[in-house]
Amino acid sequence: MAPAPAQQADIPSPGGYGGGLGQTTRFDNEFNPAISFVIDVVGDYLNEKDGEEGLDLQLRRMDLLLADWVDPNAFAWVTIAYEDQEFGLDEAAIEYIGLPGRHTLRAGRFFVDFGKQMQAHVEQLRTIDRPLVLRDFLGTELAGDGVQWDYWQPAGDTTMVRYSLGTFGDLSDGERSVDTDEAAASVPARKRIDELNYTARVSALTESGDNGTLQFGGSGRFIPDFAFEHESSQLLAEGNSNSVLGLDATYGWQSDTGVSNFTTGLEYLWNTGDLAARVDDAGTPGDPSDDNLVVQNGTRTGYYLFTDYGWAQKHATGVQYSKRESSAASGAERGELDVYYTRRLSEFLRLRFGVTYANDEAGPDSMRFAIQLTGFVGPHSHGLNW
Amino acid sequence: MQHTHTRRLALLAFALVAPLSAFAFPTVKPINVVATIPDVADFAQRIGGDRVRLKTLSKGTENLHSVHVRPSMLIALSRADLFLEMGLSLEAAWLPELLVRSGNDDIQPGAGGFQNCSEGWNAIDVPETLSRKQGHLHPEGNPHFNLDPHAGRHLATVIHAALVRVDPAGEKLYDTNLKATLDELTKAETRWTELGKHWKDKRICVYHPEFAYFARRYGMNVAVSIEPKPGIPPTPSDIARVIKEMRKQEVTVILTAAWSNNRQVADIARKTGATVLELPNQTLGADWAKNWIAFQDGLHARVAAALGTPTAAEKAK
Repeated sequence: MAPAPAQQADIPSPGGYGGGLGQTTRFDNEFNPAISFVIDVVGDYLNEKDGEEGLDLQLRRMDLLLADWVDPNAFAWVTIAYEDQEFGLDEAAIEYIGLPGRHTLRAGRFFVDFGKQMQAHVEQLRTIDRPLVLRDFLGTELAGDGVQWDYWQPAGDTTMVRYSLGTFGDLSDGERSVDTDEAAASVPARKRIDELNYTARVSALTESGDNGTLQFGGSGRFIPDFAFEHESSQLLAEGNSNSVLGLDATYGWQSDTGVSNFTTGLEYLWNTGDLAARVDDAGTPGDPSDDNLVVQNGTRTGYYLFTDYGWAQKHATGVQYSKRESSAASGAERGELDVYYTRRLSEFLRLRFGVTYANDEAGPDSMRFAIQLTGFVGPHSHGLNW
Repeated sequence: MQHTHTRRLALLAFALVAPLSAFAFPTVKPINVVATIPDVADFAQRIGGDRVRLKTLSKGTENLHSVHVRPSMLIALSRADLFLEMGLSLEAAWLPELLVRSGNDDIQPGAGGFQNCSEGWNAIDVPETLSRKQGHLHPEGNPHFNLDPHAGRHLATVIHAALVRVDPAGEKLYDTNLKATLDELTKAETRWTELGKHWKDKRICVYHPEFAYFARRYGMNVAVSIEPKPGIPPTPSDIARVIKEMRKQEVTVILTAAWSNNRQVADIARKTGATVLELPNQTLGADWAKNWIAFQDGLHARVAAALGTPTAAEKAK
């Protein structure tokens, strides 16, 4: 063996004599995840006919996103959201891509795969708010704790079909308690396999000419067993089930230069099963001891359709109309018409003006003028819109 | 009768010989190559010849930040044996998710079928600090190196090595094609140098720093940039600054791409008397840019005409 050069031992390492820190530190930041955040500010003026009127300004949301690879076959992300004066964990999930073929598996808390919009945070949408029918049937944002399998397969060179199936502990949204007379939904803490909550989606994407893409999809969200609870009267109605089904169609077009684009689409939903529950002041009026919880069962429908046109990369305008039947016994209809203009001040800063006219059979009609400023800070990449 | 007999013999002979021809002329199944932009695809086709089946993800006409992701892209990636990207984050806005979702382990970064074509390229404009205050920065430097007249040589060499790696059986063909390509590039570079030697210190205005490599190659002076920072649209005060600076420095040419040739550029040109030269920044970005060499020929001819320096035709005389 050749002797080591004599002078080698005299050269201190960059960390000093003794080989520096070696692997003795636990506080290395070289493998920190990518950190980004979104700030979404909304100011608006609301004018309800014979009702609420005035201005409001709010930091609507702040999303803090951490993301990185776990190992070569898995990546993970966490989204911590500040909304309504509270912090909450919106998402914390691991996606495993090491399965053979085009199968992937994600586990943790993540947004459900339903339709074209529920996978995205509200500030990422083309309108200031999520369409009315999605808010009412599924929730403003719907994340669940569970597992989801994804797979896609080609059908020729320009068409693909994608499938996803998710199972969750609780997708009840918990927001069915809209006033003191209505009961909140809850699912049992421990369930049989047939009592787990499920989502499923199938979508087909194909190309239309050199510049167009056409997509058709079908989605479902299933809650096989849940209870309505009314906290103050301690009433409980168990053994309920609810499903939301949806069909969607979207056409997108982009000019050869990418400067202009046009998107139009429709999503139609059915909300079926046990929809809501309401305390019935039966027996002695005002005496809660003989009240009943009346569960409203049936099918309600709703839809939204939209058209969006973007030009010069920095401008977009569009119109969206959403209508739904109320889950309440009356099934009263409400419609919302949104017209908006979006100005991208840069790729990471967006200004939006929106006008919403609401027509409600069960409440006051209203007009809302809103301004939204959204900043995206940090690492940035566009996902696939299945 | 004799005629029928002869025909039968011929058919029999064909039936016997036809299967043997497969051994004499073995059919080579082409390897599937996916390239992000037509510039890269052009060299993959030149080097790979008939041994490659090529799919290009972008058209060459679009802004690479606004590439519309389509099903055929994902399908092609899922079947690819070799994937070629420009790198330097040029495709960062749309590519990472496509690669992950392709489900093709062979073309993931680090695998044998993945090739970042910026590997070994000496990038310019590498930011010293990374902050969005400096605009839409590319951390590894200016990614538009396909516009450098010497980039063809680099791309051809890198792609040749990648093809040999994934398809060693084709090495002989790839070597031959590389040599032919480099010979063609040598002639072209001589042509371009002849035109470009008149451009030293010529002052130009650009909308976006996509022509930085092209300008640097000939010592041109990018005196004014309409975007205050890369990717940041100019405000009215920026426009005023640009007009003032162009007048002061007597800049007479604005280089711009189709997606940035907007009303602001027209306004600046009107107020300064400058010529707006709208140029593609990729192969296939215009009718005349049918391949990378033709693309560079066209760029050189148009820049020479706009600057009022000798053109290739004048040189030929």
